[in-house]
Amino acid sequence: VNIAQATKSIIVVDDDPSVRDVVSRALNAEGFDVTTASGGLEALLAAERQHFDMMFLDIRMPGMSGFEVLSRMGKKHPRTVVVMLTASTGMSPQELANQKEAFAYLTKPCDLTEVTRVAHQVLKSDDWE
Amino acid sequence: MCSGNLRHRIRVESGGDARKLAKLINDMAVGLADSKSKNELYKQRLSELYEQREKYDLSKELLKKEIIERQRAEEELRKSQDQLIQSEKMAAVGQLVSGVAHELNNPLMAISAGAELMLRYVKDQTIQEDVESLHKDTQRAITIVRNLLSFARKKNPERKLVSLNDVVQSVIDLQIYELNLDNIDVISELDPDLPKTMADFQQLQQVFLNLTLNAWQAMKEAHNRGTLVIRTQHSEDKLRVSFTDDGPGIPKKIVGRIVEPFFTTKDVGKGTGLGLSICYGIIQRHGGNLSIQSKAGEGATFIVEIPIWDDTHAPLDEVDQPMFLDKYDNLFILEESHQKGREEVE
Repeated sequence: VNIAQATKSIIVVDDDPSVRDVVSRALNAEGFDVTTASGGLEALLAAERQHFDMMFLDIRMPGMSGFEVLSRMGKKHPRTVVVMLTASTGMSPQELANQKEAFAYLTKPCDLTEVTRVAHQVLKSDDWE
Repeated sequence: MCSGNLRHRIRVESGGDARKLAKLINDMAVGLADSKSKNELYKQRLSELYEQREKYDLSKELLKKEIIERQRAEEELRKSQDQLIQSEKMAAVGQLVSGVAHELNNPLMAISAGAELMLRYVKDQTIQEDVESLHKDTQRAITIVRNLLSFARKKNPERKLVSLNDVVQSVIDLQIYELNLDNIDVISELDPDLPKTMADFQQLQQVFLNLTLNAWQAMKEAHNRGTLVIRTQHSEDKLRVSFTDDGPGIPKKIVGRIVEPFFTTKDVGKGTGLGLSICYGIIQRHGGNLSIQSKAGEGATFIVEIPIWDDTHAPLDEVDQPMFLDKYDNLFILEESHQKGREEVE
């Protein structure tokens, strides 16, 4: 089996269980290996145990914010592509300018097809139409 | 004495009657001299009075002018107080709205995505239709929340040197065919010397489109025809674009509320009442003001005023904005492709 064709792993980090659930189920249905985390710390711990090809990351979470997770991921796991998935669009330019490490920003609510499209694009899966 | 010397006295030493006559003439001369000097006095007094009256007239004029100026100043003061109250009210509403909208985004995502997932697995056609309508209505709610956010959003406009005449012209070009089909004449009186200003072309286009659409709907509903006058003007430091329709006008009691979110005079389903709120937000972020002049039955005029800023005078934080957008535009490509229509006017 070609390594490029091996199952890609994605971690979905969101404190809202409903969002976490629908996003992870949609990605699962696309054939990705999906893990979920309900907070920043849980996500970082999971990343210590296993390599993820991609991370969908909420910004506003209790405890550790998405931005902090993003910056730590950039230092320790630079190979994981991080896409911010956030309900808050009211960020100051300064805040966003400091977050160059994110590959893309998606705002909630968005279609699941949008989420899976980004995942396929980022991971360049062969079965992406 | 006859030649006017009233001090001369006639001396008659002899003759009883002649002496009496002389005395009479002399007394008369005294009386004449007296009244002549009184006459002089009166003349002088009269000319003094004339002078005083002139002074009085002058001060009356000045007073009149002062009163008019005072009234104008009071009117200005009242207007700016109204604007202040309005903008504070809208700021409070904006804060509330953006808080609520953000809180709604997570559950809306879950509902919409949940319906999407269900559609993949449900085979029963009736259930499928139900889920589809659930999904559709969720999309409607999402659009409302997005419009609310775009009203409340603190994001500053992108600033480039823009000619408001170009913006107006683009709006007319976009709609003229359909306006004419509905018997709406558009008269544009564009100030040929209008200076450019730092502004966001697309956002202003959205505002002007919205104002045109509102006038169009109002005139069409009232009498199936109409004339819309779009005028651009400028003063030393301000640009002014006005949209005057000959529709039914806006009753005085609702003029003040018309930019509030969800305030609408349209039938349920025909408008969410967010269009003017969004316009208001955009004009505020341009440092300008949106005002309305109308009387019921006499049409309405919507006036957009924005300051003239050349590229050296725009406030610093606003200059930062396009730089930021240019640099990180790629971050938003995904968001924008999904959210086209988000800025759409109702």
